[in-house]
Amino acid sequence: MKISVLILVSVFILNLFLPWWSIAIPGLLIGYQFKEEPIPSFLWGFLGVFLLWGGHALYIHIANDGILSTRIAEMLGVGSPLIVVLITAVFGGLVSGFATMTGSMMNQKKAN
Amino acid sequence: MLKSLSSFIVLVAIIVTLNTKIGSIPPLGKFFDPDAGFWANAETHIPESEELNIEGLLDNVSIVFDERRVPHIFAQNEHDLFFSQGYVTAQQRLFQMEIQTYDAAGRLSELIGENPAVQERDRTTRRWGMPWAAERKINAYQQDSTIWAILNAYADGANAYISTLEPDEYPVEYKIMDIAPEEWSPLKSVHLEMNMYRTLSGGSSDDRTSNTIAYFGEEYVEKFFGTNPQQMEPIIPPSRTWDFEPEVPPSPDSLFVPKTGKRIQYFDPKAGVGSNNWVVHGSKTKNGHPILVGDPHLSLSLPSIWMEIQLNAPTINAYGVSFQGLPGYLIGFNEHIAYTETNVALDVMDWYEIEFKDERLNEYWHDGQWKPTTKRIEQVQVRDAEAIVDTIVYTHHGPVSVTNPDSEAPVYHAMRWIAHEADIGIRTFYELSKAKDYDEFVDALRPFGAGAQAFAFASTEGDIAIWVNGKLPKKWKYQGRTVSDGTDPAYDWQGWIPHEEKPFVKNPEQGFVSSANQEPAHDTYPYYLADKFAPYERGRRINDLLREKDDITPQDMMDMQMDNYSLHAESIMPNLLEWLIVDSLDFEETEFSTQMYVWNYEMNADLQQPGFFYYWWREITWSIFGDEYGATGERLRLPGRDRTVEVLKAEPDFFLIDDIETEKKETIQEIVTAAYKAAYNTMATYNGNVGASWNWGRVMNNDIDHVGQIPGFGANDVYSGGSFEAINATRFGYGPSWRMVVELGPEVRGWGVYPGGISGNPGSPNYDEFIENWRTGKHFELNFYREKPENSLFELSIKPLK
Repeated sequence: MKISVLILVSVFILNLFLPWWSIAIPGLLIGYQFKEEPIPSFLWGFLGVFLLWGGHALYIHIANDGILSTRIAEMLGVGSPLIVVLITAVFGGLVSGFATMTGSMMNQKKAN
Repeated sequence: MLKSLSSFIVLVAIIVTLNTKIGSIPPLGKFFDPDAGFWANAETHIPESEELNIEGLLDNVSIVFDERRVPHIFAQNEHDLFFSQGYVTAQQRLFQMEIQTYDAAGRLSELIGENPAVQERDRTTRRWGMPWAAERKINAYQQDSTIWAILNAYADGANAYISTLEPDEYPVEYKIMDIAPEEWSPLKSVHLEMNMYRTLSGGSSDDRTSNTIAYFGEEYVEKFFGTNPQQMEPIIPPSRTWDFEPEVPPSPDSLFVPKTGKRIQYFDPKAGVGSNNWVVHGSKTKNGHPILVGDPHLSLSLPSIWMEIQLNAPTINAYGVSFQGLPGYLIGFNEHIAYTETNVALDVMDWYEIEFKDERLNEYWHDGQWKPTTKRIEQVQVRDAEAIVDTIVYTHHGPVSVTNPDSEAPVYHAMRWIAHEADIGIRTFYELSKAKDYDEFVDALRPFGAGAQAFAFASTEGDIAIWVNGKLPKKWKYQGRTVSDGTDPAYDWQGWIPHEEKPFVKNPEQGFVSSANQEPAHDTYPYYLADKFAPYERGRRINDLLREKDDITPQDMMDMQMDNYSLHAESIMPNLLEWLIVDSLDFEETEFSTQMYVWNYEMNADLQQPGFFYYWWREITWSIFGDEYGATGERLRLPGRDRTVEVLKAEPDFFLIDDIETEKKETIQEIVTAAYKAAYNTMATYNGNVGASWNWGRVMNNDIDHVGQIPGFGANDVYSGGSFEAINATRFGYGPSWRMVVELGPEVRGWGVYPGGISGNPGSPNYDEFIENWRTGKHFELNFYREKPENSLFELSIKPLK
């Protein structure tokens, strides 16, 4: 859980001024640092950015009265703007999950 | 080791995939990023007032946004005024500005990549000489120091905004297409001007008319196209007589018969491009001052084609609707006058059959000798693919647009088009915005060349007028109606109608002027203008109502703009019901027919008869013309519905009624009944049982599409009444793109509405804010400030950066 929180906070800060793929960096570093097993690493890493991106998107969706998310949902052909929020969360989570897993694996082999 | 490496590879692969545009799918990681992707375009609060320092301004400027976010620019000089207009237009509508100029320059392929339809469109744009004409116009604008300075100020202002944009601030369409904004320039403004002319005057039926004569004869063409319906009232009323000596060029002894009418590459203007305008004299209004009314009809889009704006500087105080990318505005008013335009479909595009010396296309025959061509290489850049190179051949007529590779003797056609002229149309709108009376209005009209427009006018001095304006070529009767002989100088354009000899009228006895794309003038007008105009119904309905009315108020005029009455239905429905063989109808069809008998001819959203009538008449038209026309295998010209109605009523046994695909000879009764059944079948198939789903507001399928056709970014099913032939000319995504009423006294006041908003950001609630008012005919009162207001929704206070 600590992994997720650390990743969430560092991604939040980095993403403010770095391009989107910088969200992989905390996962790599923190995954390496905590050197958990691959699957848990993936899950904690996934959760961290899933919550960050999903939460951020949800906030915007609500503050915007769903105007843009509804339009994007129609553009993508998905049923509801909340699915757009979900897709956002999943994309972010996916990248961070693989990053964290990779980080942990790189340290793991040394431990062996 | 291997496991972590493969995990790393997967990670990189995911990132790269999500960072790459695949087909039309944007880079997904970038796109969904809440900080920089489309989420960043979602407006979470009303914009706040800002203080800015911008380089390029001469003095302070305030841009005040009112409760509807309409920008009101208060500047200390004209340079800053137009600079600020460029800035605020880019701020609100950047994507719209760019996509339209890319289209007009034939550069869509640069943005969209490999796509045959897009490439073909770009090549056609080049073959039509659009970029070439823009360059000619730029040269002319450079000779006019005032307008050249304005074009540059506007571009500088737009660039002042564009240069501040970081990728996360790009409009959402840029993120979807994964493109970046380009620098603006005067040339891009002129490309936009060309785009406007293409929409308004980029149509021609020369080939269709030639073919129709070839297959159906001159008498047929004279009957349907050369004869006006009895009910037609030309724009210029009969009270106007002409007191000049016209110089009409001589016509050739016999009309040139072209080798073929096939394959002239055409660009059919969107159906229903047209407009209404009318002005009532103070003698007919409640407060004794004139009222001017206008609604231009265009394809409805989001963002709207127009944007409301007020321009205020020591030398101008004006309010109008602007075209995004052009400085100034096209329709509106100042403290003295008001004006609005309708399209007048003069024949200003002619096609010439060219005889080349050989396949090198270096020389062509004209006026008894071989003349040299010029060649222009057009390169269409294609995103992520190889550029396409075309060589366009130019004759003195214009560009050679297409060849006919199928025939043994190749046929080449060159295009002469008014929009190719080196005119400076923007000057007209600049001068109009500052004009104070009728004489200044008339002078301001002079520079305007392309796309004849009927300019309606009213002034605080009490004058009303309407001018059919543009550069009007002097033609012999029917010149250019068919494909012309490119070798014979008799078919060339031989001069322009002098300004004072154009069709116009000022303060006519009838107390009003109006236009609705109908015939400009009676047969007494000595010059030939064209023979293809809108059917009479809209113009006639406007005049009928204005004749009856007195003590007119602005609200009366706003209500009249929403009039849904169909003179077309009135003229033919009694006959259709008489011809209908009721015994042939089944139970449900008979039951519905009772509705048609009691219909009041209103094309209202809540009625079921209008939709049915639309399909019924469409079936009738097809069954009359479809078989004979289809059999020729050529493009032919369809008669207007108003003449068709007249001929049908006078000659119910007209030869076209017969269906040539059957042995027997059909009667009008059989055709009308079969059409009724077909229409009923269509309505039932698409809309189910008779009920609310048959309401015209639904059947009309009035979708307002996004300018870039992005699904979800438009407005679907905007429930409305109206019709091609009604004053409220709304239908199928076209219609009144702006409705305006202006009262010219005691103080100039305006009301207006268009179906959209100010902001071009689909993530803003303001994007489509005005649609509901437009739909229900509730115009907004326009804030025409005489001084910078204290209160506003938000304000930009801009100082020059020293």
